[in-house]
Amino acid sequence: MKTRIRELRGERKLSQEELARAVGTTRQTITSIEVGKYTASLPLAHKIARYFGRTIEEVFLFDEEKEGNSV
Amino acid sequence: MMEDYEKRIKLQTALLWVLLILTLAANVVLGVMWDRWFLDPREMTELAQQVQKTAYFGFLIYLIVCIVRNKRLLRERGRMEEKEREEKDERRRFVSGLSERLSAQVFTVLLSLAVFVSSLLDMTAFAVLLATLGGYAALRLLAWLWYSRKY
Repeated sequence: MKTRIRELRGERKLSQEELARAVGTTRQTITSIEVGKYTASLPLAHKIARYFGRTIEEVFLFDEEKEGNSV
Repeated sequence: MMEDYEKRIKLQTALLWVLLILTLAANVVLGVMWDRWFLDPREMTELAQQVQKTAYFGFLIYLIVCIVRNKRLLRERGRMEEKEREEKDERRRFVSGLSERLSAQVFTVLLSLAVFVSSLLDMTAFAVLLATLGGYAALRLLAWLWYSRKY
């Protein structure tokens, strides 16, 4: 899944470690989410979005075709 | 949150102490009752004796290391916070779940193979391995039922 986390971090000059601490996770998890290797759970996605003052849809870009889970 | 984790670490440390004392006590009881319950040590192979000693002392060392690590965590708050964050990290749990599932599947195949081979060679080993396989299968079924009721 694509995300805008790296871009939003860049705007705030925030390191992965700082974001990880703020949302109660590890730097490795933030890295994996940013590069699209790991999809965050709903609670973590919510925490990240809330931290940046955005909605989940603004931070996490769900590609229905690629994810293969049409509702 | 942090207080809950601290309580958990303290409880874990207490349980580790109990386990350490029970392991030491078991060694004394086994030493006294060995002749009545088990093989004459002279009938054991060198390898069997070595494995037995390594497993026993290895377990003791593991318990001591865990106790020391927990004590250090309780002393250093920053380290405890870091550890809690690592343990609660969802990706780490996801990766652990995947690796445990894979190793459990491989373990089942290897254990089944060992049961088959032992049935051709040694009846005592066969009985032990079959009981282990049966116990493992029952445990997996119970765990599955428990989790499927929970979620």
